[in-house]
Amino acid sequence: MNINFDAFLETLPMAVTGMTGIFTVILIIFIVIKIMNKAFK
Amino acid sequence: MLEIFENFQNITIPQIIMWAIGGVLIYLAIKKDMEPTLLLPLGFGAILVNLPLSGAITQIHNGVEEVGAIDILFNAGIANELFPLLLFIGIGAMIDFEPLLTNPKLMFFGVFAQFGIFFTLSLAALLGFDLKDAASIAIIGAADGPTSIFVANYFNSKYVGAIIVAAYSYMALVPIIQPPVIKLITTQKERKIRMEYKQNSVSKLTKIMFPIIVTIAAGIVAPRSVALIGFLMFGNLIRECGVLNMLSQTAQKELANLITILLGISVASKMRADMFLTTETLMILALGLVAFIFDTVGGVCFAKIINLFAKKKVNPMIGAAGISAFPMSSRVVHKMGLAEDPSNFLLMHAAGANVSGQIASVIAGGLIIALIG
Repeated sequence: MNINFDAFLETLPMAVTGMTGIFTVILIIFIVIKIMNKAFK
Repeated sequence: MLEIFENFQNITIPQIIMWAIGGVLIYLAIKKDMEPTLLLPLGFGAILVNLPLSGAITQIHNGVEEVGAIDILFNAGIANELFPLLLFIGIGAMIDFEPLLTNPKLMFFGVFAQFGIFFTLSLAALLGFDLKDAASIAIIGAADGPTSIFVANYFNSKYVGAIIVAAYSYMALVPIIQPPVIKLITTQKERKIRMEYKQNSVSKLTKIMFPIIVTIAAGIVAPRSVALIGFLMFGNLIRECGVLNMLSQTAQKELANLITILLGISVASKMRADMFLTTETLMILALGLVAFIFDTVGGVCFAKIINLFAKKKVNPMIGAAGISAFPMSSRVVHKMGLAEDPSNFLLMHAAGANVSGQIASVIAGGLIIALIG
């Protein structure tokens, strides 16, 4: 097993971007659903 | 006469171990009802490809290459990601997003229950896995078989077999993995929190627009996820449009069943002893478990953070249902709620978080491909 700390550090911004990306998509969908639920009762 | 027994001397110990592993997978599928639709074909396939000079896989006989049927299937349906995508049409047609549309706040639990994917990505990279292999391993945390196959195959990971075995095994083991983790990080008082459920009606137009909006939103932010999310949402649109009931039934039954049969046995082409019996396989199984544990931790911790600010408290166990393993995870949370308080029904909230996890895990798959591919 080769501990690769550099690769670990390289993945941290990716992890942050990944979680932010999922959050952004879900936030957009959430806002649109809220609007639709109000508009099409 | 001796020619009949000639192949016996080609049997190797690793091949016998793989027969045993195949047998265990078949046993778990039949006796323990653990994801039988995939583990049974996978287990049988593991035996099939590990027979000496197996004609099911590509072999070279007297200098001539004879292409095996399983390799043909793998190249026709998995190497080009076709089977997982077609299966997504069936899955999309099976999912009812109404619990989520009724209470869209539940969507955010699906986001934070993907934490295990990114935690495992970093951990696998730290342990020395190449970045593409680390991403393929991390996606086990999506708790979503087709997404795991899609991503691992996209990165052409040599660990596809181990990744699929881990992904489907842990999905089946959700009722064993999640409860101790949830109990460890929640108090009894938190597990007893009641959540009011209002049965709001959702218009048909909203149900029809939902898959289209999800596809557009995911497509703009994470374009590499379009194939995955698009096929999932296409299946859902067929279900909800109301004019394609026959197609919806076909997608849910015949299409999903046919693809599942072929998927399991095709993936087995990556379960040859020389590829599968490695220390990396054991590490992948361990990392997959870590991914599932930290998915659960991510979802529960998010719910606990919400509770610091919200007037109406959320039962933090709902956060654990934000993984994609549907409906196992929501059932687990519901049962745990009932165990603490027999009159506390969390199923509808948990189901909403659970279907949100299905969308979020697919988006996570697309983002992983975009970030590392």
